[in-house]
Amino acid sequence: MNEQLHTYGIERNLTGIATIQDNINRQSPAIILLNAGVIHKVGPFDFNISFARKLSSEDYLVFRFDISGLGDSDKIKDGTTYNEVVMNDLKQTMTFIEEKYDVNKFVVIGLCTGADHAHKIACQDSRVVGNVWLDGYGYPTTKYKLIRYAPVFLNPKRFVNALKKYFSTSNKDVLSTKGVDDYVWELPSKDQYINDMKLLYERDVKCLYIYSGGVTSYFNYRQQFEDSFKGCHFLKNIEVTYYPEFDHTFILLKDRMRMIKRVSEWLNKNSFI
Amino acid sequence: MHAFYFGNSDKPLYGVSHPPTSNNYRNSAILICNSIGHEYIRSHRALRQLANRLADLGYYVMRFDYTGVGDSSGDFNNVSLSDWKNDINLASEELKAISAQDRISVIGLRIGATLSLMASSQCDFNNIIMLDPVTSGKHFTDNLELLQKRLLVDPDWFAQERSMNDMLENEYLGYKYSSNVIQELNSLFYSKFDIPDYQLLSTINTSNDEKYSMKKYFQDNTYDYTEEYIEDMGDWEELSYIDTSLTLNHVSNHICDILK
Repeated sequence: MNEQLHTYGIERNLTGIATIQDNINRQSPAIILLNAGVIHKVGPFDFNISFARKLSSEDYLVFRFDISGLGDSDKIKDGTTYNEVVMNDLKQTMTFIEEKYDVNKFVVIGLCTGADHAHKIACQDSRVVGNVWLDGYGYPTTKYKLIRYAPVFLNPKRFVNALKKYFSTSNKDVLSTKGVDDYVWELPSKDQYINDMKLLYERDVKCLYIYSGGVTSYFNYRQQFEDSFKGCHFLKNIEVTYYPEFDHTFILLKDRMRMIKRVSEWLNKNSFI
Repeated sequence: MHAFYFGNSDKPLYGVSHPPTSNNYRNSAILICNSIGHEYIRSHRALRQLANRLADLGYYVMRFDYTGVGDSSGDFNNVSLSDWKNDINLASEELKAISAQDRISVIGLRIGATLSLMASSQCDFNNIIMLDPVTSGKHFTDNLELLQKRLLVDPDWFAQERSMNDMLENEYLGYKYSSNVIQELNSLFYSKFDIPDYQLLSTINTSNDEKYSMKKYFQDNTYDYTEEYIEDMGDWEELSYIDTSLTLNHVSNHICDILK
């Protein structure tokens, strides 16, 4: 395994590390790992490093980098919104990898806010052939509401506690993006998401969505995603895995390795055209 | 800000330089030594911001990752404290070369402060500023163990309670520590170090608990030592902060005032 450090981009402000073997499999897509919240390119508790070293041992080229203004990439002041900055950075990153390593297909992996970015770039850039979400979007269903709220309504003490919590705390289920200017993690409307996924389905983009027990505030049972989009053709290209016992950042190393193994199996079984 | 590899090409270390951004050039450069494990991740952003501010004051500043930590090569599970001490030495030499300065000041955070003290006899630092230094390695490992135990049963972390069977040996807060490092940490105590008495030493603590004070030892041993308490985020022993990005606004202001 070899780790190569790069400074690149139009403004040469982006910093990224390619983890590669001597013989890169150029038929396979390159893997891009995104920042989660404001954490730099190593990821929460070195999560991205674990990912990069494991997947590169299977001959994938894995690239992890810092979005402008995060980690070791300087911020560019050009008046664009944070979302535009992220999309531009991702496009520049893919162009750099294409030119440097001669790989022109990409699977983008993102946790939390990274999942949001991964989805958006897949919709904008046809070089993306696969997407892995870790605790990405979730849409409530009737069953979700029953699982979430029935025990509360059936237990007066829990009901009072829930009310107190509702009025006194904010949601701690997602990584904070405080400090990243104007970026707000917003769930796209269901209609918007369906339109996006129709587009990705036409391009045959494959998706793996992994949910942990750290986001029970919006995802709480294995079939929730399929139930949310019953009858939609794009489900054929999506696999969903639910680990209710895991936390949002995959802090336990055994959990992390299980999750990475799942991603690796999904990558290896799909032919990304 | 510029990232680069340095040191042995077989096991490169990752460094980031912050050249001065003002014309007020200084006659010393500043090396920033971060902590390890989950504390390293927590502190990265705050130390980058501090580095930028010091560069704005005219200092040449360098940050780096120890072997097996962050973006440097190596496995965290296969390192020793002496590797990290040597990394500080290498980083100090690298900073002298890129900044063309002979005088190096160090800002060390947590175990990074303690390692800086360990390395001081080798590195000939001009000045060491320690932020919340780990005064006792045993206290550090005991706290890791305690936080890990709490983590497994904390409903804010896990929807379902987890057990020790779900973790590896010596796994603490997302990292597997080697038995060797745990042993070394357990016998780590600042008063055991050989610290040259010509170096200026100062400590900034975000806790005013006397157990973190090194004042008596250093002043009794006639070191040029100052110690201050600045109210700021630290909370190194709180589980709820292990994944919260550190902000060190008051501490950074204070350091910038000292070095202005």
